[in-house]
Amino acid sequence: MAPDPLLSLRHVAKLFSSADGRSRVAVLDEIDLDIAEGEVVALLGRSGSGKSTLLRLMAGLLPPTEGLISRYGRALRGVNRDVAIVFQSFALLPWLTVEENTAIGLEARGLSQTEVRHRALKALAMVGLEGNAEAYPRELSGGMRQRVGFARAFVMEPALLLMDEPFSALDILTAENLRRDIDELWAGGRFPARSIVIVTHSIEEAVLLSDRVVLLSANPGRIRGVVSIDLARPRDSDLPAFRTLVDRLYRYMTDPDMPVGERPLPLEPPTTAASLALPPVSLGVMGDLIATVNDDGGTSLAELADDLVLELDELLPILDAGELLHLMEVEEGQLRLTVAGQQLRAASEEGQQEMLRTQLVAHVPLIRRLQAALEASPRGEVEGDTVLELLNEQFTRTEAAAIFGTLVSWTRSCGLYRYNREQDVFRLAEVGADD
Amino acid sequence: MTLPPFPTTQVPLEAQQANPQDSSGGSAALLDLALLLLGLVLVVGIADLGSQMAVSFHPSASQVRVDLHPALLPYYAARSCLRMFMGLGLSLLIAITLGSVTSRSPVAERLILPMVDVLQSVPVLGFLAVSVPFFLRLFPGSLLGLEAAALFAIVTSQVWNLIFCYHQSLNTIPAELREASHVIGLTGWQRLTRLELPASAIPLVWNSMMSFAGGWFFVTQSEAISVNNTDYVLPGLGSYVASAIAQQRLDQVVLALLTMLALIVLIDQLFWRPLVAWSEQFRLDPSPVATPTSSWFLDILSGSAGLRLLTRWLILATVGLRRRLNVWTKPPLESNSHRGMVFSPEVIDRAVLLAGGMALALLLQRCIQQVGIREVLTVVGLGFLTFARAMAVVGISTVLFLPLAATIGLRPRLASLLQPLILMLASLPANLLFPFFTVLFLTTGTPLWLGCVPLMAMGAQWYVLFNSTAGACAIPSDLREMAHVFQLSGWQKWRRFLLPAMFSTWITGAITACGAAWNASIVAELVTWGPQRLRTAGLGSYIADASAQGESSQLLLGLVVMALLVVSTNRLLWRPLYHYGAERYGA
Repeated sequence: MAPDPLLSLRHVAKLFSSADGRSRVAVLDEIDLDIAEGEVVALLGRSGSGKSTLLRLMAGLLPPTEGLISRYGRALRGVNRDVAIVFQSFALLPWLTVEENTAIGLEARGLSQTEVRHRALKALAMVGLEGNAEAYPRELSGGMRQRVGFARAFVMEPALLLMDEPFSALDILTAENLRRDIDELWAGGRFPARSIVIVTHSIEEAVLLSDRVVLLSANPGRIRGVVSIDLARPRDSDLPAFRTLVDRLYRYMTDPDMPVGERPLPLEPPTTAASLALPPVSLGVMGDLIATVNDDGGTSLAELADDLVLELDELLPILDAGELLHLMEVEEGQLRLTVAGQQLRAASEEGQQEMLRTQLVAHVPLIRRLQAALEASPRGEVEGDTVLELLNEQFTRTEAAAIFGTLVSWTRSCGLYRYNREQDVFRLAEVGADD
Repeated sequence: MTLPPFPTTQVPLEAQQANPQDSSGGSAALLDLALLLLGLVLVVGIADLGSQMAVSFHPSASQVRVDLHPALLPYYAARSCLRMFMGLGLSLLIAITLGSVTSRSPVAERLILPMVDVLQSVPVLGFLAVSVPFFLRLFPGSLLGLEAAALFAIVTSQVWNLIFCYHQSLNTIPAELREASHVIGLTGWQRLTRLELPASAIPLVWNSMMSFAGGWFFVTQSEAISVNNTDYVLPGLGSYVASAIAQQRLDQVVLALLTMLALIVLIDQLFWRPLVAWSEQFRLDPSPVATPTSSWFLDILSGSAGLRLLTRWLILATVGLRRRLNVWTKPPLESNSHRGMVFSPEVIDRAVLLAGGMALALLLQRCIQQVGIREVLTVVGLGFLTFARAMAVVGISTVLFLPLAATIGLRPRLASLLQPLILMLASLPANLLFPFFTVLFLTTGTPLWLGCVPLMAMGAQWYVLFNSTAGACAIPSDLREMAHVFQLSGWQKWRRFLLPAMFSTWITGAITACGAAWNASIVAELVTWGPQRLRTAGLGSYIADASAQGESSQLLLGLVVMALLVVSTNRLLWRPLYHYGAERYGA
């Protein structure tokens, strides 16, 4: 019999209350995942896939709504004592020195003063900060602060090290450097943790560091599939095998309907109740993207992202918006314009606005409902609160507020409705009327 | 209010660290000796003053008049001062305890916070009338009962604000920091001393300083009060002034006022400034910011080798204790910390509302039974009269001080010069100034129904000035430059630029000023000068009379009506205005 995995999740689901408190919104659903000893697992997904929530479930910071999480075969209750976390924002205490920040977890364990100091300095040496023990976090650069974050985790010698987008608050060069150092520690067998789970939205990072990439779908987050990365370490991002994997993952990420590996798609496709969600981008940005797409044949998304210097998590919502408005299609990593999209690109500025209004009313469920309500209202007015209540049924408070903001921005920018924040009222814009 | 009234000027920690003050050996030793002496004097003095708190007295015996000899003023000042610090310590202890509870348990949060919100609307002097008889019975035949009542008054004037402040600063600790402290497995003791207290240090210090300033009014007032037809006197600056008033000695009042001013300056220099400068190391914001608060006294303290040795010795001596504390407060290995709320939040809210409503109904019913519906209606009428005066106070101080606040706030150098001065003026207890006004009213024949508005404004106006100045200070420099470049002026400058920018801090000041005015009404609608007595109708004088004559049901009625008026003004006027401001003019 195989030994119990370090951490195992069975049928785990996490639901949060919707903003109106009457229903619940699923953030994660049907998660089955084992973390074995000695492996690095990357959780990859777009925003809304609940990957950070999944990490917090593993740490025991949040309880699962359904399902079972166990460590070494025993049910996990409360905070997981086998883990340490490296946070995106570093989460250092600014009033403690580097050494005190590193040592704080050991003190909690009640070790002797000398032992605490010895181990803390050892961990600091491991991340190359032995000279900065007396410094305060605010005296350090971002990269050095995150090194303290790593030292604080290392010193605990956790069975499982959880990393929550640990490099995404750093500039590209610093991130690259730190990532390489971590990779070397791991490859050299000197790593103070037995396994790693890393949450990321960067495909390259996932391929560079992990043994398995777990792809998550969005709304609710489900496991779409797992891709094994069988490349020798240390990995060279210029090798063809590396590029092939990156391209493959890129295609998965940009096309949510594409099956991953042999695994079929999750049973119910995540189109919950003709979702009222709106991707958080402005129509202007989407228009800019449309202007750069080739007429014929389409454009490779990887090239596009490179040309526009866009991160994947910035590009994805733009594509979502384009597909929602039936202006773009994404297939096999290629972006094409629909007929409407091509017309939009050729149109004059006024014609573009006109087309956007038509597409919004025709294809966006939330706007379709708002339009119906406005036409039914004798004064041509609908209160913003009514719309917000509708959203509150399906989304958490922050989600609902974000969608509402996008709604206002979209309908204002193409002159579909007027919205007055003080009165909190949507009005049909009288086309051609003086403003 | 829970907002620090000044934009907290921050100091980069390095600046403090890189200041070891390595002076020559001889002067350093002298410095240590001086500090040692100072410490000894402080300890002996406190012990001596403390022992005098328990002096026996008999309420039946005719009260000892306070000796008006000016040489005794420092002694009286020390007594008042000791009371203030004890009150502050107690308030902080309560605030930290309750704040910890409310931030850990959502049930407690929903039960305690509404209660605190109501309690902070009850006029502090009303508490005093109820608490003096109680504490006298608790410590029969000893002055300790009066001391306890005075302490109680100070605590009730400070603690609500501090509870909200601590609760709020715990809630604004970044989520990732809290998660990190869980995963690392911080013990309860570590969590308190490494995370929660440091994270709330800056708001706590600022709020304590503000509350302390406000507390002088209550300590001086509670040192000489009449309850149940008996005059009670505690040695202190307040009772000194009260005696001076009774003997119509304006010169003594001036002397007491000067002593008070000296005391305020001394405490500011030796206590608050060092504390503010020291607390700046507990900023959560990592970016180093502009002008540090400097304190010569903190520089001296941190330059003292003896003090450093003492600190190191203290740290070493408590290693064992701290380790034991850590062991005791270790988080359980398998916690069940995820128990959801047993009741949904709405249920608790409704229960609180129901219980509060029923208690209120019962109280009112008892009042009506005992004093009759007519009296209730009269009191409500009086309440609106005093309400009008409180609003007049806010209105007049706004008109007077908003232009001044804009002038000061837009000039950073002037602001840094004047703001400490304004804070000191705000600390000066208004009731020490009353005699001058009373004499003025008596000689000019000004009726008190009009005269009590400036009296009430004496203590309240500063909050408006102060918070509005902070608002003007916070206007970003690019906006100021814009106003210059586009030559905004006159009414347009006010309407489009200054008023919106200062609106939300003005509201904060107005709320505090309004509360202070309500409290002041109890002493401002009824003033005396020797045998002469000026009185005007109002809820304040009604409460003062009821409390002096020991008519408990009238007192209760007055307090309930005042608390209701304060709560409803907050809910129906200030809070909507605040939200409007945040929504309309917020960034």
